[in-house]
Amino acid sequence: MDDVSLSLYPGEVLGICGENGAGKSTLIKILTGLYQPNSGTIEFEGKEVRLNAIRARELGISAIYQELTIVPELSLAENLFLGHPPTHGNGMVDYKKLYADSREILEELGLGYAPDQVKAGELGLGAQQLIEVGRAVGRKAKVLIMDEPTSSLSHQDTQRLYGLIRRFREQGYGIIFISHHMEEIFEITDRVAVLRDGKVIDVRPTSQWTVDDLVFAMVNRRVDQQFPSKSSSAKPGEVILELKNVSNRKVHNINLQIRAGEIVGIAGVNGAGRTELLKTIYGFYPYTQGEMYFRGKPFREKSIRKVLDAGIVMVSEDRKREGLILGQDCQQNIALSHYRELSRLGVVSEKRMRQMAKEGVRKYDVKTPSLAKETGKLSGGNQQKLILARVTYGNPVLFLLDEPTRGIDVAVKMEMYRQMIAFAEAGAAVLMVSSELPEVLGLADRILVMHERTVVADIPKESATSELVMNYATGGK
Amino acid sequence: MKKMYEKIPMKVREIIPALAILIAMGIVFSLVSSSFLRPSNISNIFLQATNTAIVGAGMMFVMLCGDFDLIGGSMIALSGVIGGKLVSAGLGTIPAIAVILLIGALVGLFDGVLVTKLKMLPFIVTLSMQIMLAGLALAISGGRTVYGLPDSFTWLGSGKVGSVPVAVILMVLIYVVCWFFLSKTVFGHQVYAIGGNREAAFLAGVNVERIERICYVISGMLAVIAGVVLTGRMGSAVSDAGKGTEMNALSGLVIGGISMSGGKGNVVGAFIGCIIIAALNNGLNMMNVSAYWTDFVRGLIILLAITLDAVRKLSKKDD
Repeated sequence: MDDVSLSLYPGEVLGICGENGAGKSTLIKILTGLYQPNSGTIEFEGKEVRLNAIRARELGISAIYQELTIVPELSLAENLFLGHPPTHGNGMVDYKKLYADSREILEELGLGYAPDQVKAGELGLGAQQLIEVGRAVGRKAKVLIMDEPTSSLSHQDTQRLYGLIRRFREQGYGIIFISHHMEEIFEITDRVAVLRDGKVIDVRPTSQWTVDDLVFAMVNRRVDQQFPSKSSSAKPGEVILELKNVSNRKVHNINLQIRAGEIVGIAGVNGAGRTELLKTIYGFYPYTQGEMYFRGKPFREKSIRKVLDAGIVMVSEDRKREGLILGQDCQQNIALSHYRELSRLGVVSEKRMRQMAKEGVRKYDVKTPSLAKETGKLSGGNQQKLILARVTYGNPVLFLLDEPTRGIDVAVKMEMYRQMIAFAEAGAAVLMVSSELPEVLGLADRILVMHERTVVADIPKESATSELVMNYATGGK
Repeated sequence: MKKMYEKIPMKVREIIPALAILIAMGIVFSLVSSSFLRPSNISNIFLQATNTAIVGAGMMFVMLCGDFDLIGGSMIALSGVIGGKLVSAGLGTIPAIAVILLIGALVGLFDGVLVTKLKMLPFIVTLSMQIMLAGLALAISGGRTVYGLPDSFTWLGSGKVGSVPVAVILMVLIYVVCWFFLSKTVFGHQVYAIGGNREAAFLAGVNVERIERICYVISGMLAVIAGVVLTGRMGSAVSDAGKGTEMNALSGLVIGGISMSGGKGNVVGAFIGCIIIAALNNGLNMMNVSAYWTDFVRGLIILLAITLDAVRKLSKKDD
């Protein structure tokens, strides 16, 4: 975050918009005392304060996150006062007061449950979200920060939450409402601030914003990145992958088609189901409905091994958790998917393993002092190159790349772009998820936009603009 | 200094703490008791190490996957009792051993299925199994010692080739085979990969669940072999033979550098670790430490070993 100035008044709902990585989460963490600012000050009710997590809570700053933090096995009352139940003053819980106060809060939330008889886990998602809000009430919060509070709520529950927010506004709470959804921003907020690249771009009363203005403020940035482009002779070839009405518990009714030589970008906000779509194709989440065709044949493999054998590879967005074995060396990490080729009768040939690793390291220019270096000690960019070396061995025909340039420096990013284009020019199909819009716009031949677990738009490169993509990604038509 | 340390191959570095402890213990015990380092006592230590080390070899596979297997001690008792009953009822030695090996394999498979398919915690699964197997051994034997075992059945535990006990040869052989499997085969590489990062291994196409199950099966079968060896050494089978072996083996493995969270450690280290445990028990005996205190010291050593593992992990995080 850089030089952010914002003020919040009692009795108002301040909306905050911005792309992924614009600095919204950092802002919340600073306000709730989890991060400390390097410079600048925070004033609360006119007095300068230094916040840490405990101080923020004492002052009455409360945050409600996208992911629920209720404890399913505890009663509603215990959840409402989680960790800080009223006491008799000697460390013993004052159950009478706990239940009385809880009953009051539940009433205010419009939930007619007995606070001591019902477990939080027995409630639906919407009611659980309300319990989170109720926690802030129990703490006598003055500032309420809501980060995408509706992302898992039904329409009805969302309306109920709005009702609650409006009532809190009348009672003089200051509310910060963060959302990717334009309709929500316009429905519930009084003012809207736009963050981009860690800076506040503009703050206006909601009535003075239009959807177009808002999207433009969010995504507009200097186009200073030059993307390499494919040679024009490379024309899309046969259809590599086709999904028809594919659904499972992670994605919903997916239709898409990718041809050889194509780079297809998938855009969407967090939680839109992009990673899940890639993992559905990869067989990690098997599909339960619809049809998938790979090179014209119905495709449903029982194991990842078989998917790899078919020529489909994936680079995960979380290379530390899902990509590399950090405690093992470069050689072992490259060989991981290829032990069968490297062995005879189950015995691994050290020589061939070293040979494979050497070639991979040379081809992708991995900077490592030796093949025996633990991969956990390499830089993010080199780790990513190592994964490329593993997955590209054996010339796959479909690449599923999930945030392939996350956390790596600009020079390596450019190399990644060139590699992707090289894959496509060699006749492979590339399906790439990225939260960086310019990357998607600059590289992809087509852009699929996902919203709420399904593909809502298929935009060719020529007509793609960041405004159009963001509009679809935030639920616009 | 640090540079020099880093030049040492990782496999050697992993066993340095174990070697250091072994040497230090040798020095301390030989100062206290002149007979500690005598060849006859060394050979004794190796013989005493056999069942801990053989059970440990199996547990090593499971632990390298990042799991736990605690059935060792009970499996020793159960296989001794069942094997003993079978041979004294007239079944041949080889068929009898085949039967109990099958039981060991099935128990391991069952544990493996519960852990991989139902996602149950290995610790809980194998702890309950440990209690069940111990109970089964007690029930089958009726608490009575099984006597009158034929020489062919006790040969693995009490026989000698020249002056070397068969059990020691068997133990070394088992470790050589384990070394081969873990460091030379695809299976071994995949075991280390799973322990290092299960998620990444799975996404890279490793059949994680199958390999975990195989490791439990290996562990179950090796515990049976340890049971045959111990029964042979004792000349009879009792339902509480081998009690606590899995804990001795666990501490031996951790001292030897096998990580509790999986993916780290090697066979040589594991072997040295198990020898350390045997040498410790032997040394405490020679020092005339009261039997009432040996359990305390053993517990202390286990705690130290686990602390060692934790400290190792913490210092990893720093760089």
